[in-house]
Amino acid sequence: MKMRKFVSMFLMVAMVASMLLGCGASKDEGTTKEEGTTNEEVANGGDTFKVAFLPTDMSMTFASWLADELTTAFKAYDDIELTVIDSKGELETQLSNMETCVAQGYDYVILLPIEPAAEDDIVAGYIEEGTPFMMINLDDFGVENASSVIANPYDLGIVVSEYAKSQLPDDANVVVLLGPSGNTDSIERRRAYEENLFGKTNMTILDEQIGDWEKGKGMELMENWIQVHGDKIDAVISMNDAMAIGAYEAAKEAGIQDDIKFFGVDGLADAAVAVENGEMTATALQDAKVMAEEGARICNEVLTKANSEGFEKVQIPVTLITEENVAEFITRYTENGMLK
Amino acid sequence: MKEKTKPNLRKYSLVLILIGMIAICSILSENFLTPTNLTNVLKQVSIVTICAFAQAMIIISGEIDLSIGFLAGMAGTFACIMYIATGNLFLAFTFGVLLGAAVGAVNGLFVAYFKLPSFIVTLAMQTICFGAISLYTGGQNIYKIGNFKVLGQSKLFGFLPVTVLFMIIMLIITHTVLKYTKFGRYLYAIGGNSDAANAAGVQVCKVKWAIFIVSGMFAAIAGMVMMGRLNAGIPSEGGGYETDAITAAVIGGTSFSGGAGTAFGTFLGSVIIGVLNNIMNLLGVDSYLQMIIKGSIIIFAVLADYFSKNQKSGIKIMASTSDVKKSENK
Repeated sequence: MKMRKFVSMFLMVAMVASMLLGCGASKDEGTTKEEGTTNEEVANGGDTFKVAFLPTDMSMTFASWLADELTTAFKAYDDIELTVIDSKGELETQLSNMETCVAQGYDYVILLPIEPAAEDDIVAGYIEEGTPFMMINLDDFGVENASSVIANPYDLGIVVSEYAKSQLPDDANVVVLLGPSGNTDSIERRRAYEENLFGKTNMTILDEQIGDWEKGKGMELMENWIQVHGDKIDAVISMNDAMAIGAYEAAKEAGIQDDIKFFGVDGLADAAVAVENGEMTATALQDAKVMAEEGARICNEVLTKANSEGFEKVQIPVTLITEENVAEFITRYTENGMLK
Repeated sequence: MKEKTKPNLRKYSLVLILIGMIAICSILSENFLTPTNLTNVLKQVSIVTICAFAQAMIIISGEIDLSIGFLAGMAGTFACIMYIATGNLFLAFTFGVLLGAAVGAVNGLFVAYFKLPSFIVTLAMQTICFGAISLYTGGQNIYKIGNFKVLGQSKLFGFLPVTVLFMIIMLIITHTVLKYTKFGRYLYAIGGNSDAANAAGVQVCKVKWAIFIVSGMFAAIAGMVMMGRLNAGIPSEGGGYETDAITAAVIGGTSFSGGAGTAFGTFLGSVIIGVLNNIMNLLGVDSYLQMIIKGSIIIFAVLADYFSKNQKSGIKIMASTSDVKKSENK
């Protein structure tokens, strides 16, 4: 019995240790910079502003990319030190993290919201109490005084659907892959397609299913669609890239990949490679680099009182990636280490 | 005698359910009963079935392994990385299997020797696995995996997908282990009544430790096949496979209280779910409706299995001798 107690203690310690290890590692990036700023702060003799970035889930490619770009962007501001606190995709965790940041006296909080509509009231409350907030990448504009730096998911759908219109015949047959049920990004991108493409052409949607953002699901659905619709499918319209690439893999196995066009959204490294190889026709990117630079600029202006209102709302233009400009993104992703 | 009758009856009732489903499906959709579509179904269930074999063996021994999904994701992705670094498929595959065995050994160590609940240990291991691979890759997926994809995308003799071949090999291995080895009989004995097994001279700790190692290896193989099929190393794709594996095993007649279950039953359970997913997509059934239908049919399948078993062998016989022993002990 004693043994069991000892072991459960040991397991607890091991788990806590591994968690700390994880936190420690993610902090490392911040800490190196922190040390840099601390030294300069001593030299300046001035105050250092503490800024927290609360991403959705650092194991998601976009969130970790945005965190990297923010870390880089804030290097330009000597008196600001950035800490990244992960929410692991849990709304509950993100809410507690916000609470912690405010309690610990952070001067500014940058929120990559998991569910903006659910977080609005809480954010508004914190702003009223004196901590300025920024919604980055996703915002439903529910908080008047919060800064906002976003790439509109609707715009992402618009640029790809516009290109799809030019690439597909008016009476094309398409299959549609959706993100998880209730997901704002998926809903908005799909709405853009409806208004800009399906509503304006004579296209037929052969089937439309939820693929949960997953490559494996996209592949499985496409395998089944090929059985039913065969060579009738002219295009795969996917609300993200992973599912589109999965569908491509399925089409390749059936040997009909060249007769079908594949459209995605996200524009990250995997998609850039797929566009370069001629597997995907087009995707759209929400540029984390531009987003981070704008975010850092606004944050600095608010903290230094250069912005008298205390907030600013900007929209980052979205970028269409096709075979014509893909080389530029391959270079970029190779340089920033997202592509090895 | 009784223990032997039970799994057999379960197996046949499942075969009947599956035949019934196939008959209905071929009426509902003309695209269902084609060789390509049936191959697709087998291909689509192969990865989860390999996980389900591992899960079934674990459940038979009275434990549970929730680390299977993310372990598959981690081992599969690390094997991709190994392949990219060395260009040697055999080396990468061996590395993946050993990694799975190592993680399984840690799980087993805590469960078997330190008597911690497997539910908690493997739940913790799940996050450790995902954390470890994310830490290594910095949250990025691995692309350009080159020939690693033969593990999931190639075909043998031009028609047999390698993923299906892997599933068949694992089916044969699981069947042989459970039916023809001492180790397999020990699993049933331990799951039925661990104290009795111990009293009968079974080295319970050793066997439990070993089954977690085996489970880890199965998960790793499933993970590598998965990444081959996806033509990329995507750790997060493994998530959820542990519960799908439990569903397949339980529909396949694996007793959640341990001590009963077969490899073929598990295989059939997995195929039943696969056929269900397939026909609903062929018919273009609405996504939300699919979820409800799937859940209902799973309950129906287990219920049908339960009743067919009761009719044939009577309720009292249904409770296996080991179950009776268990309740007597309580």
